[in-house]
Amino acid sequence: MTETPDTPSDTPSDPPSDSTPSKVATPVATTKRSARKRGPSARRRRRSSALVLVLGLLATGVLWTMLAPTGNAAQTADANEAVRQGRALYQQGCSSCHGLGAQGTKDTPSLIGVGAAAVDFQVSTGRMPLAAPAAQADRKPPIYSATQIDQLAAYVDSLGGGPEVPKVTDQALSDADLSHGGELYRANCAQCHQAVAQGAPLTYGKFAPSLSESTPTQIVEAMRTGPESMPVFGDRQVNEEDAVAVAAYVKHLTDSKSPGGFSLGKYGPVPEGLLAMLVGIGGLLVVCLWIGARQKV
Amino acid sequence: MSDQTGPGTAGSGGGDQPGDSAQERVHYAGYQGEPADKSDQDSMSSIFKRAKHPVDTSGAPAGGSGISAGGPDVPAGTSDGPEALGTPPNQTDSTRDPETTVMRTGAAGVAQPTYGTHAGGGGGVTVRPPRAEDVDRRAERRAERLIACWFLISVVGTVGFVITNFVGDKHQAYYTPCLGSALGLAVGGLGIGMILWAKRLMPHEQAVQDRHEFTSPKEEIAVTEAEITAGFADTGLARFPLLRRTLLGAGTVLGGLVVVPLLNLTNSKPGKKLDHTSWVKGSRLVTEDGRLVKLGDISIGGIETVFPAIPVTESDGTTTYKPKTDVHTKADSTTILIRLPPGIDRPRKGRENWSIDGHVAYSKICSHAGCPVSLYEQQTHHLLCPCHQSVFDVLDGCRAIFGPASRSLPQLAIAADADGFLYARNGDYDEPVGAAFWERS
Amino acid sequence: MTTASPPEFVKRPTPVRKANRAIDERFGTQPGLRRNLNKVFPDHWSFMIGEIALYSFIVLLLTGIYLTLFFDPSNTEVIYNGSYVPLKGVEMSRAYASTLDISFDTRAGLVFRQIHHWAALIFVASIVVHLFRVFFTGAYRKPREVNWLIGVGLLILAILEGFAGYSLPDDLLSGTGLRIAASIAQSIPIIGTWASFLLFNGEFPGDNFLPRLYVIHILLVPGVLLALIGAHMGILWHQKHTDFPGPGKTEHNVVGHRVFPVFAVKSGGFFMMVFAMLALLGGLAQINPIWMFGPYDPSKVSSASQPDWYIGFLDGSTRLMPPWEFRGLGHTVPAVFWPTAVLPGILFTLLALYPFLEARFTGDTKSYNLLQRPREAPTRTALGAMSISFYLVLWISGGNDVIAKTFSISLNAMTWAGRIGLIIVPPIAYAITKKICLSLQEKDAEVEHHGIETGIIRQLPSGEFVEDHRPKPTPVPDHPQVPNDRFALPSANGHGDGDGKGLARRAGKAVSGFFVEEKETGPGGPSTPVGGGKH
Repeated sequence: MTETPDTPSDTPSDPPSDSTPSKVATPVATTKRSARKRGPSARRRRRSSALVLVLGLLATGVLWTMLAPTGNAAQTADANEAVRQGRALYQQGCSSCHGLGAQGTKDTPSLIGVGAAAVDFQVSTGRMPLAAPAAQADRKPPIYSATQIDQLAAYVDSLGGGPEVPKVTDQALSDADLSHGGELYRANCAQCHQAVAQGAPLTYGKFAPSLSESTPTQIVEAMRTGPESMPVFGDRQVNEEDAVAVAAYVKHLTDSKSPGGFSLGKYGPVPEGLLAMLVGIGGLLVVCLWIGARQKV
Repeated sequence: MSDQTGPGTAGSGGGDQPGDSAQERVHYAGYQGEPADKSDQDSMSSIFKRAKHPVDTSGAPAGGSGISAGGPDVPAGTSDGPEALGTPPNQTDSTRDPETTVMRTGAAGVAQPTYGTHAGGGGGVTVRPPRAEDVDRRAERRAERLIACWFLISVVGTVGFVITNFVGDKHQAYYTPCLGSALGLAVGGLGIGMILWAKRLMPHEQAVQDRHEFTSPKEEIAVTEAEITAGFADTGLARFPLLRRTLLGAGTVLGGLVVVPLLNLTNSKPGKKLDHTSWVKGSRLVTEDGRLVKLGDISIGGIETVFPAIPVTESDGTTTYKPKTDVHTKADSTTILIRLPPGIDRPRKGRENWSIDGHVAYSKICSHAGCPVSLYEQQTHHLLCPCHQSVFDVLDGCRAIFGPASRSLPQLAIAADADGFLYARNGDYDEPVGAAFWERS
Repeated sequence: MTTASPPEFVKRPTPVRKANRAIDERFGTQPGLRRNLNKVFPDHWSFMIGEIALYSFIVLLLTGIYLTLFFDPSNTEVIYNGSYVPLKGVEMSRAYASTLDISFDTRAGLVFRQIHHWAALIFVASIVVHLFRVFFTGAYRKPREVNWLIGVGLLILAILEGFAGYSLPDDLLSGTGLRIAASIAQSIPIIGTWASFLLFNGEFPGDNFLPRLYVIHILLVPGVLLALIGAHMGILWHQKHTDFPGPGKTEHNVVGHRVFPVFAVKSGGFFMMVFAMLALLGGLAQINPIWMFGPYDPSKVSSASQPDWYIGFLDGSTRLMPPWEFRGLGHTVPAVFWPTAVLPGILFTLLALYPFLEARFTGDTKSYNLLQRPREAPTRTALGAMSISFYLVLWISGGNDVIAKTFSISLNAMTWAGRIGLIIVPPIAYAITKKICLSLQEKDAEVEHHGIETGIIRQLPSGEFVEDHRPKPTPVPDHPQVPNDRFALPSANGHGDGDGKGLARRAGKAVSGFFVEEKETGPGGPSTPVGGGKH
């Protein structure tokens, strides 16, 4: 557990040499995921895989220094700068709960290894920073700007890899196979988020939120990182293209016009029944009253 | 009470049918709603005279203080008292009341035919005061214009519907709302117009009609019962016991025949079908789109809905896996595969080796009413059924911990082969999946 | 007192008269026609609630016929290739595909589909409201118990019919409902498994079940519904409508409008209004957007799966049911059996038997044509309120997930609130309602003895303040049941009936006349029943 940059005291020069291998060394990605959990068996398995990782790090580091074009130096510097800024933001806004080293506490999760995608999801949806502890964090307007979120993400990513922020382009969205996205949505998402993505309750005050306001990027991020109660859908289950298709389908559900008039919150029979009672029966009773009413004299 | 004077008929024509008097009618049928020619009871009509229920009008004062204004346009003949409509022609029974007494306020300027009158027939019924339309010719015209306006709106709606229907683009979001609004306008305009017409322009009447008691007089009951008894005696059922018993027996047997078409409703007898699913020993776990699930496909905290891929030995000795994802298989074999973090599962006794590397597989068909239970909370490891909110604790063998479900979800024993593919190590579930039933022990 | 001479027999008949005479020569229609056209119907507004049900049933027939021309009730799997892009290439049953085609590729298909669905909701809802009116006014009493029974039958059939229609499109939502229905059938002791297999033609989802359901939906149940509606109305016609007590109204007469012309035109207009309401709902409010739910697949489900409102109470009872499953002697009685088969069985049986139970317990076996005000039968009214509150708790629990999500309440808390509420709310409703009825009766008695409060306060010479009471108006002589507190109060006290104009006031007046025909008399003047000597 010592070789991977788990501690926040890394020198600023570390991140680039760390983020690069995390890209190159995809074969060990599953091992890294399991390393997020701190069971004793995981630790055992991790020791051997860590050895592989160190070798990979060394190899890619050497390759990097030999092959990296000079133009990238500026980017590396930018990345360093982002991590530094991110750490400052982190220590100001997040460390009180997640700990100075992002190692988490009894009540808060560790952020080591959660990846940039988780940070981007949690902060851009306004769930983090949490206003007050509740059964579940709810969507709010984000507190940090897009740049600050990127910096925070870069910092947390520098602590230990994890899923990257997915790049969901408009082109990819418009090219997506809507009907395949729909089938995946119904198979994997509708049971919690409801068939029309309006959300639904879970147990004891938790809930699957409505996806009306979610951006396609946030939808893919949620699939990859499994925030709070949500299960994780990794890329070996739902590949990149399919994930974008799901996001495109969700956006179609929430954004497309209803062909049948007002959509009544897209919540199915409950609002329909209420409308039938209040407007339908209520309105017709008013008509009855009108027919039966005395005329003015 | 009055003497009925005028034989009268409402409506048009047909005034020359004195033969069907209301008297007969009443005495036949005993009430008013019965068709006059329902049955030929002429022979009885003279026997069963009935006392009617006179409308007691004795207490009704003659002076209608607030409502006397007939309005300038009211013809003299109609403003003088309540009309009795529908009174029987050639009424001879002077003790009988008219069937219907109609009292009106004003006459809306239309000459109403009056057939006979009746003093105080209302029996205390109040007549409403005249409306503006009854006394003011201009108000009447205004009402007419208003009603005509609604009828025209209806025409506009109809035209709108026709145009939208044929010219509109049915793939646009406006199409259905426009059609609905136009149709609403078309029928609603007509409806509002008609109601206004009835309320504003038709004469305001209070019609009083007699009710009749439904109970037949004792004499009639006696005769009817006697006739039925006689008829029954004629059948001989009482005298011929063999006939009676065989008829009863034949009827019962024939009645039992309805069971046959009922049982023909299905060719598929229950048998032990509910006890089994499509899982067989060695079936691999396959996703809906045909991907065989391997170890590591699912992230920790991930879920996958899986179906059986049945091993088939080909002619060349190799084994291929045929996914079964038809609707019947899905109805009972759907399984939810969950990857738990290592070490937190608490397998039941005897199920210690039913999971592999944190992967556990349970029936997705709720043990309560058969909905797919799939709301998995990866932090609490609860599975929630969206239909009736039963909660199952995945770590504790999917024990039902909340809601109406009383049984754990059945667990599917899985293992991984050398290539990492997950397969059903013991074959089918060891208990019936889904909702319980009588034969289930 | 005038005597009009009988009308002349018209020698040169118009075409209408010709037709009338032609029919009469063959069937002898004139006396019956005249009698029926002159039939008097009381014109209280609450008597039109049943008409809503009748008219929405007609709309259901009309739109339903249109839908049958396009719908294909087949389980055969096809690949969708219609104009709804997000489902292109998806495998689905032909039933679902043809419903999509009705919604997207048929002219006026979606609007008629939606009108049909709204009409179904309104049909059942109006039956229920009609039932409330009949119940709380005691309209079911002898001689109308048979019509009550038919009405209960109509309600049950309407619910079944609605559920069958909801299930036909074979979408994810309705398929889930059918799955639960199969589980319920399966849960019946002894015969359950067979019942489920016979119904679905095999193990769920059965073999070609949709054509069977379709026949149930468009032939069997509507046929019985039609026959029962005919019987219901025939009996009503025969027995004449009940009426609220009022001046001049007795057990032996009926006061109102004759069928022809006023009642016919008003009812025709009301049919148009019901149709218009359904058309507006069908066009402007989207209902059952099955394209968003996707085709049915037994391995999939949407959260917040709900039935239509009239099944909601059963969904609620199922959700609230504790996990009581009985096992023993090699057999199982599942928990789902009690709330979905036993409970509605008990509820509908009690409902059907209520008139007979009431007659038994009150010993009142007389015939009635005049209705009661709810306060006049406090026990009945309280029992009604109790039943309604029981139903409401179940009904709300049927949507408890949507409520939990909308108002951020814990789902488990909702379930427990429902479980507890089901036990404690109905008795409270009973007690409160009974108390209200009794105190209203007390008020009636006080008016009877002391007269009506006028709001005028006088100071007596002794310094004491008293309020003037106007003597209770003399009841109309021939009718002892004339209620005594519904007469116009002096406008001086601010509650006057006389002055305001406008729709709101007239509506308010009509509501206040819910139970009693109000008399139109001048303010303050004692009511003067008008026989009709001159006007």
